[in-house]
Amino acid sequence: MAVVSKIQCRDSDGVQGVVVVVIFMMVEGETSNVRIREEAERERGRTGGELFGWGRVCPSGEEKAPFWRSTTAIATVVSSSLSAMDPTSRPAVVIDNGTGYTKMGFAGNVEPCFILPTVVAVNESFLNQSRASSKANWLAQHSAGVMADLDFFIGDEALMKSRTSSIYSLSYPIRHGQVDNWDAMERYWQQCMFNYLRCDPEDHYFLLTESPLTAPESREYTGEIMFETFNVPGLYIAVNSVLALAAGYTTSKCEMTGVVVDVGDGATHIVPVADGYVIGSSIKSIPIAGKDVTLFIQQLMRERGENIPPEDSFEVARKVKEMYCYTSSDIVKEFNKYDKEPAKYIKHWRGIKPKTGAPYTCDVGYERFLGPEVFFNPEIYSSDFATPLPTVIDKCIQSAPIDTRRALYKNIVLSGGSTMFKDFHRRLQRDLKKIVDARVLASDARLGGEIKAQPVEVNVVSHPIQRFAVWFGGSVLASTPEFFAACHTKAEYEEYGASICRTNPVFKGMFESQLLNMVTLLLQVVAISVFQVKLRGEDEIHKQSVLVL
Amino acid sequence: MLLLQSHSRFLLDTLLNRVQNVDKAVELDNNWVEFDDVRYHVQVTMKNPHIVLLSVSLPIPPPETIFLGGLPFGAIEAIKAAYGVVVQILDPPRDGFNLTLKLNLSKLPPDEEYKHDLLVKIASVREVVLGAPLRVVLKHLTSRTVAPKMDKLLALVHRPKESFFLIPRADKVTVVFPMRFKDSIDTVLATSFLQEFVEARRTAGLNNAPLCMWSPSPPLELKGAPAEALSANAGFVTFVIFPRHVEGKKLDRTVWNLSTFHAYVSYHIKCSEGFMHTRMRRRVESLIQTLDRAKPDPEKSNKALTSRSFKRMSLKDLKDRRNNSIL
Repeated sequence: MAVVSKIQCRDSDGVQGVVVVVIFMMVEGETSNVRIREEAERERGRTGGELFGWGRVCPSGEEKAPFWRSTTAIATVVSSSLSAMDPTSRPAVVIDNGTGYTKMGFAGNVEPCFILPTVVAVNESFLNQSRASSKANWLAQHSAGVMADLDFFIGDEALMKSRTSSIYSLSYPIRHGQVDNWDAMERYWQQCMFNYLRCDPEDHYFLLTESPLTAPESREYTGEIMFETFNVPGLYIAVNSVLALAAGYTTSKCEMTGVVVDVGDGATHIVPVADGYVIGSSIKSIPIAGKDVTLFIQQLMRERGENIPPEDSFEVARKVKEMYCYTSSDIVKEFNKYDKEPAKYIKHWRGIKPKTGAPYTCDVGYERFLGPEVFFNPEIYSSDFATPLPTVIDKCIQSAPIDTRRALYKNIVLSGGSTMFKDFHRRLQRDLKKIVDARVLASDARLGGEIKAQPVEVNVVSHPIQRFAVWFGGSVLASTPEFFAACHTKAEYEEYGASICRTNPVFKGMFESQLLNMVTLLLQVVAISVFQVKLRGEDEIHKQSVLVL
Repeated sequence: MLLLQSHSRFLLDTLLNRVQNVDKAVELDNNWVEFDDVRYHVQVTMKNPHIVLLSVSLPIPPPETIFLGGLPFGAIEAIKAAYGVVVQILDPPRDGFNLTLKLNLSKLPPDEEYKHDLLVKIASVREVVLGAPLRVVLKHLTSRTVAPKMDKLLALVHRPKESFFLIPRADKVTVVFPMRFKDSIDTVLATSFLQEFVEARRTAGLNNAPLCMWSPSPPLELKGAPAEALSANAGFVTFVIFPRHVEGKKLDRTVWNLSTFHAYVSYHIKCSEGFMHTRMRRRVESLIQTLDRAKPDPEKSNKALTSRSFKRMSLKDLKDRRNNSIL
């Protein structure tokens, strides 16, 4: 077993990017210095650098630790400027593709570089043309195909193009949190990398996200596109709810147990996580998400007869939702407030008709609080689904293992753009507390007052980065050195095929991985302390490396 | 998008955002990497919201290129000429970077359009710094002279540890790119892509475009270049630039397009791979449809017969069964 730690530093000439690699390894059996030397040479040959030093690593009092007698740890310092071009020395690219918006950027930053609508505008005119023309006209067909290949836009540009010209048609690659159109998705990724982030995909590890209910086949497909088309050196597909929980991990406390309420644009999932592992059987999802709020607002405005051009009404409803909506504590009171003082509460929306360019205005009234109300009283929107969000969360926690429930109630984390409504977390906490208290009271009554149950703490956590909490969690995860070891690499892909992407470690047992982590950590700590002594008085580069260590 | 833009989109967004909210103090500390291993770092502190520190690190130069103090020759002059008083070069640069610029947003010109142009120029700092030597050579071409001490083979870095070559003459500049790719599929695609590229130059509409050649072995012009610089798995592309290609405003575009030629090719290879995948996916879908049509119909009736719901067994049933089997 060898543990490799890489430290990047400048060499004396000021050329950046020299990597010093320290290799710790365990050698079985009796070890002579000759044997250690051999091992060190072999490691050097593997990394292809320059050997600086090697030595035996053992804890300070050698007799005290019988563990070290049969096995000896040796450490080798290899400097190799070749490894400066290693992708692990560059920050990983983190892309969180949501149904509504895609968040992308580089690991280690606190906010994503770009937040774009997940939409592609494709020029379909080429396609139809080429199909209609005869086979003889091969060249025209070919060049039409090539042009269609490049003639597309993503994000805000796509929305603009589709509005100004009729030859582009919009296609939304993700529906309800699942990739629906792989062609569009591939193009979307292509533009993300080359036009927006402007990175060479061969140079970076990638972290992508998926919803907890994604099928393994879809994960395989993602891996195939990433490794085959873009030649990425490594890929990690993370579960977005775990990342959302990891985002809170750094801001407040070290808590990897909690319920993630992820309300995105296309899907709403309630995912219980215990110690970083998803409780798969208790995941609940409801068919109401951000897009339904938008549709509901659109419907309300249409029924009231607002003067909005029909082709623009969805976009207007989306803007109204993002700018004016909030969560009320009581609808009846809210209605009264609006009726008493309409001037104070009713807002105005100004827009320009896309076709004629004429300006228009419309009122924004009750939909300001009725939109988010869909989550708490779904019956006002659809007759198919009538369970409020707090009840579903309660059911989800009740179905989780009994020893995790209190911890889960204590840490309910919000993520996704549709939880951004003002006071959303207060309302959720209040409603949930009501349900839980009623249950505690009922159990007290049943027991006849003999035993008093401890009150259950309900806590809905809200933080300012809620909109891109998943991305932030990804950025944190991808900037740890362990990330590169957890990735599926290109070599693995070539050896085993796309099936390596099928499994996701967060659904698996925790035993093996944690054990390995513990052993390597122990070894590193011991090795480093002794190694410092061995290196003293050597070349400057060694000192630097030890300092970084 | 056919060509890569010269400005970094994220840098431009950040700068525009800063200029618009210059009074609102925010903490900014962003790192990112562009193609060919150009790294950026932007920093804004709460104390001085109108000062932006922009650091750039360039790809590691191979030994044959000329670097002065960590920058290609002519870069400092180019920065001063392009940005004027807005930008100050800090010495020494931030640790791990080749160049640190201190942008003073309060010194930006008041005219909106001019301000925007200048910000775009700052966002294309990569073009200014990395393209500086190429610009010097091409500038001399417009006046049909050769820059002093630059009449022989000249190597310029464009990717980490890789360079392309210039052979400046008074009436033309020959540019040679050794093309290297990591992946074997990329290499094959690139080879045929470049041959098509040379072929496309011959069409009637492109008579005025620079001459373009491709050869699998190093061209004769590269005599005297170090041996490791001459190993390229996708051949060599040669462009011949005449004074008419660098007149006036064309100079900027020519410099940018030449210095990112490799990135351009690799972008288009990725695009064509994506395109092939799309076609493959369509083909598979159509084949599956054909197969589906060939499926015999009776399957359905079979299914109806077998799809009985399971009988749930109680523990007692199980015990009985076991006893029976023992008996």
